[in-house]
Amino acid sequence: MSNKKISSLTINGFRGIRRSISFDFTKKYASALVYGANAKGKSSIGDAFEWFFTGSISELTKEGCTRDDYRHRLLGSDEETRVSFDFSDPSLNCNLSLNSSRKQQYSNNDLAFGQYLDKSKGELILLRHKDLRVFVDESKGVKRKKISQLIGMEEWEDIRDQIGSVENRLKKNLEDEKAKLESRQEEVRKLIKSDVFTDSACWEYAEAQSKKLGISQNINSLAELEAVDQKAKESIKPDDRATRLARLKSAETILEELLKNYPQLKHFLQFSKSYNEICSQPVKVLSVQLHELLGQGKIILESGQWNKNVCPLCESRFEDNQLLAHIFEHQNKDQSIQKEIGLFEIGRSNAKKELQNINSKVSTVSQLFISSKKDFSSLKVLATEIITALSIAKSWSDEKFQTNKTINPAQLDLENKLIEFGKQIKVSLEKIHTAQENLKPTKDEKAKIEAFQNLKTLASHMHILAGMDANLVPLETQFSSIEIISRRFQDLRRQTLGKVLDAISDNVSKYFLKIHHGEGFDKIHLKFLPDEDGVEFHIYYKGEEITPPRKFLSESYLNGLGVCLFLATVRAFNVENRFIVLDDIINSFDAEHRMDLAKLLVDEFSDYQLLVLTHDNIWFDQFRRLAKKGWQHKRIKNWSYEDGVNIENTPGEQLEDCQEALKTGQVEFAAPIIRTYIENRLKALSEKLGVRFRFRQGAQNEERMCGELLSELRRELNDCKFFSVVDDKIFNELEASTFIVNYGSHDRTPDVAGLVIGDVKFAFERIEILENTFKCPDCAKFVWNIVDRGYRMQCKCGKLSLR
Amino acid sequence: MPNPLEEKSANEILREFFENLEKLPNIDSSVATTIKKLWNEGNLNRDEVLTALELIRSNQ
Repeated sequence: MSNKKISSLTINGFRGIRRSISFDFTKKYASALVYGANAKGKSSIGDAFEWFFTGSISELTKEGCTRDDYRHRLLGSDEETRVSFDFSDPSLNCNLSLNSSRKQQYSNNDLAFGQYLDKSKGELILLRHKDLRVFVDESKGVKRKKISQLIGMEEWEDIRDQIGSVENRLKKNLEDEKAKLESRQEEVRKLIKSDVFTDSACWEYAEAQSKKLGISQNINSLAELEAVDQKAKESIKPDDRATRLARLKSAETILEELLKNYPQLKHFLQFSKSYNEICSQPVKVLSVQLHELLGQGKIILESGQWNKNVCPLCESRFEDNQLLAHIFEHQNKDQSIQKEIGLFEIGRSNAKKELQNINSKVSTVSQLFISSKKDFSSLKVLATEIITALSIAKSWSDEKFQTNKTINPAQLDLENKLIEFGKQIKVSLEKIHTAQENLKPTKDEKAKIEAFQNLKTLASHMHILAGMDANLVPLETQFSSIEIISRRFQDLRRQTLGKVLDAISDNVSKYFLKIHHGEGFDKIHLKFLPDEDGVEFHIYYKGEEITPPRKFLSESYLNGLGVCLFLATVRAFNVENRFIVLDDIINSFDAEHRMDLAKLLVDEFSDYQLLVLTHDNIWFDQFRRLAKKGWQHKRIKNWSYEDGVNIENTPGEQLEDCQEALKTGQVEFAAPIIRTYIENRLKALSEKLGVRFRFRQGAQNEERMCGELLSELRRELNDCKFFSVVDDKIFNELEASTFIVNYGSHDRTPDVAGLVIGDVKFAFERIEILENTFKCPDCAKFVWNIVDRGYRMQCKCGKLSLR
Repeated sequence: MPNPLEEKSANEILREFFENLEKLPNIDSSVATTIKKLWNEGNLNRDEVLTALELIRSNQ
């Protein structure tokens, strides 16, 4: 396992960070606690981690955002955005840059760095407040999926689905095949008239049937059954009795059906009568013809294809509108004739249908198989005559009106022919019945035929069943094997996931109980739920199991659970990296659990490198008191659009800065650095000594300056008669350093007119002397070594004390 | 506790499972071999498995 840590981080021109800011982790400060009020560019530090390790910032992959938004807006086109990381393994040192053409590139092109980056993408490095509850709030299935991803079990999901799908398909195939088999067995059971289907019942039945055919043989297998069936076929002589019976039956069915719906001649006779009546009236015939002619003219005019204003019938010139009006007038002139013609056409249509129906029915006799010419010859002759007459009748039914034309149905004699045809059908049916009677088998023959049929049917069934059985066995074997693989795989998946969940749960539980100790919580468990194929938290509270947590936990507790899960997951799965960034995770944590969270981080993650960012100055103060060894504490002093983030250094760094500044000998450069340093030391001293200050709101409290700090410190020490044991001349000397006490605000450069570097050095040395005033010369311990209820304090030996 | 799966990674456990398929009790060796082969080839999907199993049945 790798344990990579960060040696230094430098961010330049990225998001809200205009000028370069750096974190140095190479010295004794492996972790950092950074305070910055809201909108001071704190989140840009978290974003820098995300960008470096994933290549993008999730918040800025949304609509309307581009890589340009990664760059500080005041960067020139020749300036690059740059995030540089140095690691405990220097071969991985790299910076990620982005130029104004949106080209983004890593400076380290080594394979090892590429592999490290790929592995890091799968690890949890950054936790933001907004992501605290993402996992806690996910559905069970998504939780399972995310955990699977973390431990490289994504492929397992797919394998489970694929094997499960094969299992289901084989199961379905097997069920279908079994259903077919059972259905056929049921048919056999009915055939052999047994209560249940068994092979022995089948063989017994086969023996009984073969005996009826005069074959006496034991049957105990399909092969023996098929041999007996073959013998039976040979024993029965082929004859045409059955064929003849079948043909007679077919003829009987056709003729009985014809007789049942015997066709009538009615509509054609009515049509003939109406036709003859209309044709006997010349005026009506002409009127119909004119009506048709005008109808054609109207169609031509309305098509718009004809010459404009020319009559299509006589080619005279007329306005089209007038012509159409003329046609309309004529067409509506004699409504009664049109109505009569309309009814006639309906009658004509019915007559045609009737002739077609008769033709169709009479033609069915042609299907009769006539074995001897005399059997159905009269019927057939009559049918031919009727069909010929129908053909003539049909041509008549198409006739147009002609003056004085007549149709004479009597010429065809269709009515009488149909009556005669009906009589002949009855005669033929009688002949069929007589022939059927003559062909009936004897009782003995019937029994043999039946036995032969039964044996044949049984042999066929048993042959098919044997084939089905043969197909079923390998299918059953395969299904059973796939089922075993599927079950074993699911067991393995459950066990593997369970192991992981148990391991995470142990730490989630441990961390959560550290934050919420003595509140009735017994433990927290992440459980795999096989039935739902999901993962869910189970909270054990005063012996009761509660799930899901949102049913019971408040917002603040759910956030706490989110933090604990993140930390437990980091501990369980981060292999490459030993550092994490926690960006403002304290939001919406209730006040009484903040210290516990800080303690958890300090106690349980001392082997990790933590970068904790917070906007909460109270928590920052609480945290920094706990996080001492190995921690650096930084404050984002201010942020501006033009300059970006301005971070205040740690005391050690400030001391080094002072020493470097004094070495330059440049008073303008050194004075502000020394002044800030002295101010910070006085603040620290005031805090340690419990100096009482006039109350101020929020950030104003931080803006106290050297003059006020010195004066209040002196007053406090006077009040507790400290100067009766310690000389106060050091205060006089410090107050004499006017460049310290006489300036307006924090950000204004002190007035250095008339000041020399020696004055600055003098003040710098005095602050150390002031601090040493509170160190016991005997035991070498400070007066705040032993603090009694936050009020009385003394050194180790007790010779130096306060209050 | 860096690795919750302790001695083996998820991939190693998976590989071991497929390597030892034939040793599962009551399993048909032709099925085990087929599944193992398809997994090794990266073709362990429903259609490939069903086709391979059908081929085995038709050859029996």
